[in-house]
Amino acid sequence: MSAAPETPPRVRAGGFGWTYRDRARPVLDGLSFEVEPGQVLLVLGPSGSGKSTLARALAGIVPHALGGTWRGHLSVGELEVPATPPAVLGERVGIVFQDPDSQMVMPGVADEVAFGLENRGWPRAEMLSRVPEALAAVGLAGFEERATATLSGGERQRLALAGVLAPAPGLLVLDEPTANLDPVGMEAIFGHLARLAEGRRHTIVVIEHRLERVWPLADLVLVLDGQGRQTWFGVPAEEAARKALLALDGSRGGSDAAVLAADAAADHAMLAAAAAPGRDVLIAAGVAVDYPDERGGRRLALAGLDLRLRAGERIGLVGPNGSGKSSLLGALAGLIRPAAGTVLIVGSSGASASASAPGLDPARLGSARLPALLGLAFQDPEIGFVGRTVWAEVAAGPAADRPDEAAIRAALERFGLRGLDEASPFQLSQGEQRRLSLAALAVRRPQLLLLDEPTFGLDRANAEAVLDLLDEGRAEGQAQLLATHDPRLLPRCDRVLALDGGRCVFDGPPQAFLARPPYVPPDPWRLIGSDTGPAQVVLGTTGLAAAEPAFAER
Amino acid sequence: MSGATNVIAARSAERWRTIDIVVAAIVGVVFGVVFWFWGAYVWSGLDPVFQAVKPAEYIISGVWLMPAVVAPLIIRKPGAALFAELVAAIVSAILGGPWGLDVILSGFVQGAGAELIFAFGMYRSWGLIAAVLAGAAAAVGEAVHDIVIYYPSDQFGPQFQLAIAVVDVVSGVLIAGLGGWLLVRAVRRAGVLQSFPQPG
Amino acid sequence: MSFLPAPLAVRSDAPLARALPVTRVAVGGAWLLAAAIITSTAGELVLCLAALIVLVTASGIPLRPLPRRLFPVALAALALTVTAGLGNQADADLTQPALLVLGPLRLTWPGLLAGLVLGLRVAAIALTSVLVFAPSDTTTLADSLVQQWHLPDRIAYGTVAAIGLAPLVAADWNASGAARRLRGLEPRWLPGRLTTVPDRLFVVLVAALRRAERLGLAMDARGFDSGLPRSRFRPLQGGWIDILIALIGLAVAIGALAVGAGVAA
Ligand SMILES: Nc1ncnc2c1ncn2[C@@H]1O[C@H](COP(=O)(O)OP(=O)(O)OP(=O)(O)O)[C@@H](O)[C@H]1O
Ligand SMILES: Nc1ncnc2c1ncn2[C@@H]1O[C@H](COP(=O)(O)OP(=O)(O)OP(=O)(O)O)[C@@H](O)[C@H]1O
Ligand SMILES: [Mg+2]
Ligand SMILES: [Mg+2]
Repeated sequence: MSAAPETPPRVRAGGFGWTYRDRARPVLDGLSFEVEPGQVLLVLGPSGSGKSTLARALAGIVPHALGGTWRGHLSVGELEVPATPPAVLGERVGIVFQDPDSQMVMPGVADEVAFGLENRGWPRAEMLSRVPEALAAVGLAGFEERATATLSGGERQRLALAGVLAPAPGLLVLDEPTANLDPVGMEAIFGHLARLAEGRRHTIVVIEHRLERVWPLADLVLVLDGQGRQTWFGVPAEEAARKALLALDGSRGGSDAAVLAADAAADHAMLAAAAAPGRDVLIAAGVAVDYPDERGGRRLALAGLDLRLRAGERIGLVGPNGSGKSSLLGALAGLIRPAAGTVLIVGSSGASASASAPGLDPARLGSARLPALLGLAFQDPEIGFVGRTVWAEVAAGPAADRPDEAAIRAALERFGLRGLDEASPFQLSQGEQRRLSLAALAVRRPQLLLLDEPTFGLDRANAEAVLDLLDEGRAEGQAQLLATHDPRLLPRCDRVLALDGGRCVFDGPPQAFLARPPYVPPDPWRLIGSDTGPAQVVLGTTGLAAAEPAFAER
Repeated sequence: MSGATNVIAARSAERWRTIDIVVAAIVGVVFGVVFWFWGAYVWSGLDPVFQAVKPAEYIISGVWLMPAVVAPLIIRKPGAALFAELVAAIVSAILGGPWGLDVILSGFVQGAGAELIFAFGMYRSWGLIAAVLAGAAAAVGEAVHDIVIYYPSDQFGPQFQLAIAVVDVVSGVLIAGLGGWLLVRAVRRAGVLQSFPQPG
Repeated sequence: MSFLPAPLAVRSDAPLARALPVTRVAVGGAWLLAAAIITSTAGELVLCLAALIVLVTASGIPLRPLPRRLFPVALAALALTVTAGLGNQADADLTQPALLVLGPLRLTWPGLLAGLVLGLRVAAIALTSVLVFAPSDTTTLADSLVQQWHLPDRIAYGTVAAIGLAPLVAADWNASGAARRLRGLEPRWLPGRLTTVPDRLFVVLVAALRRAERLGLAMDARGFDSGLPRSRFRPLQGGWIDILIALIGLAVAIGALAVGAGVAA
């Protein structure tokens, strides 16, 4: 057994299509493309277009584990996928799935990275040097002895990457590898990816919504439409690729940054016109959260945070992976009992607020009253689902105020979930799951909305649908707190709250944050492509400027 | 374009795929955690109450047998009942239930009981009848084990022992057998288990 | 947050922790067998005492969290002592003075002593399990089962992976309650909340199965089932300490059996 790098395979598809067993129409239809050894293929398409299904097919999960109907050819090197068991493909192919949680095999971080090496029979000496190397490459140096279960969402995603990168597989399939990562982690991964691409020792298939980052790396682009049909395959610089992209984008056109910045300006005008944010909706004082650590003690995840959120105000919550964002949201929603501090929600119905008790502790509130007051979208939407079908998920609520059918239908429509009414929430694509969790909040309009990474895994059209929903809510006086890794959302917030290591390191207007992010290095935290100055430098260094026109044209 | 090829989920009869192992084990893990919780919090609270009518307590004992019915109904492979029940036992032992290592022994006899039934069906019948019989057989295993270890003849009369066995089997049939069968049916409808043989 | 007990922080340089997991499993098995066979208070007492001594001197297990953790065991042991005591034939002997009268049931001194055997049996088994499982995590246990006892890799690590999902399953349980509460579906007080337990359990089971399904597929995608011989990241090797522990453990089991038989005779 040797640890010598494998030769990168050629990937070829001819009229490839797939229909899941319990779906009427194909998710992928007539894909024909060819990726030469060592090339990078970027797969683009709206949420639900079948990108993850293509990734599963490259790993052999489709068709060997999931039932359905296969059409045409798909091959990795000399291996025809339908004729090769997944474990055999697994020697050639390394795949990072969209959901990092479901790929943790071993309870310890080092063992997790070593798992893929053991499977390939690497000698121990090489494993001992390779494991820390792979962890360092994704920014997890020093995490060797941690338990995987105690990592934050982003930390787990990095670990999943390290585990797949470690054995240096010939074909690397990355399904939105950066969705949960903070901007620094994202830079690191894209930097790593760029080095891999340059080395030409791996064929790489990457699925990613953050086009501006992967575009310069791609040798080839495959664009899918909403029905899973191939609308374009070719070299990214070509005119037709731009056209296909624009068709795919469908929405307002222009570069991501330009659109969002323009929206932000409009937002601020609207805000200025509307009355200044109103009464307090949420008052949190000295909130601290801790978790048990490996040695029987406790590790502080959030150290005494103060926060006031007013009606009609939107706060963007940012911070590196593991800085305590989800913990804060959990404490505010009354899911996690804080180790210290108080959380009060002040309802608008005068009944709840009295002189002696200015608000209600969400942890103590009766369940039936909560939906009107408080809405939370989980970072992993799946764990928050309460219904057995898409429709039931949106309809669920206290018997007293069920949303009417028209409202449910409208919410599903708005988030592009029509036709999936009867589907199980567990079978949706990741973007669909996220949209479903938001649709359930859209029918209720709680006074306080807590969203954990509301746009991750969403294409731009859907991200805009989310922002539209948020704008409507804000206009009605909803208070909103969004934890996000996407700096592009920040200009559309009234305030930015930045965490680091469980402490607040910045609280102020977004412009000030973007001008001088309180992190080292600061650049990744800036809005890429905006006119906030130094971001242009980032642009220049990654060669993005060349790619940008692809989006700017209309 | 090439014609459509139908590829249905691989259904190699005997060999356990990785996913079979992990899914059977997770059934054990979930129930192991439930057992542990039950033993650590509920049982130790209820047990003193039940002292006077000990055999009556066995009416809920079918819960302990569920992995031995649920796992085989899902993955439909030889050994699933024994394996899942053992994992459940090991997990609750690791978490530290009141029965300690002994729970692994009971897991073994319970799983073996259910396994026998599926073996009699040549690992071809996975319907309600097989489930109910497996629940009953697992219960017999459980009753024998408990009587030997905890209610030996030198201290407990035959009526007491018989009462335990009868209540246990009734519970095994209702909770583990019927309940397990209904549970698997409901789980399938929830849209998971796509990589496993589908009934009908 | 989780209701699962946090793993005990065991000192890794303690003799018991330095032994191979399979050594502990073997000795634990012997003690379990002995506990099940012995029918005298003295024999069970020997096992309990031996377990306690090892726990305090050689296990490296922190003692402080133990009482809370072993509380259910103590309750169970006590309860069994009383049940068995009450059900004992000796109680029917009216010449013996009654210690306790519960309606038709009497508890006598010989009856109580007989019950105590069972109580001590529970205690011995529980203490032994702590000694077997606490000193190492599931991965090391699986490593050892694979390397020393040649358990198939696939079964051992497939199970480890599933057990690794346990914290997520526990978190899913909490999240299912939280999500239902936020959606206005969770009754406020205890009796009402019990009615939603089956529903939540079902959700947790479904989520767990789904995670397991994806995990199994992900393992194969990383080449787990490829049929190549796997190498070992953490090779485990036995040493003199294993021999020592095996010998002492065996001696204790035989000693307890002998004491038990001696008393019975
Ligand atoms: N296991 C499954 N069974 C049935 N339908 C499925 C299954 N997995 C996905 N689908 C459906 O197939 C379609 C494509 O899903 P897929 O996950 O491939 O989309 P995607 O392009 O990766 O989307 P996203 O960007 O949201 O992750 C979706 O409509 C989804 O609901
Ligand atoms: N259940 C848990 N047990 C132990 N530690 C935990 C647990 N959940 C989170 N942590 C730790 O607490 C810290 C904060 O985690 P949290 O999930 O709040 O981070 P986050 O800011 O949301 O990160 P991300 O951007 O990756 O989602 C991290 O260091 C994490 O490792
Ligand atoms: Mg996807
Ligand atoms: Mg988070």
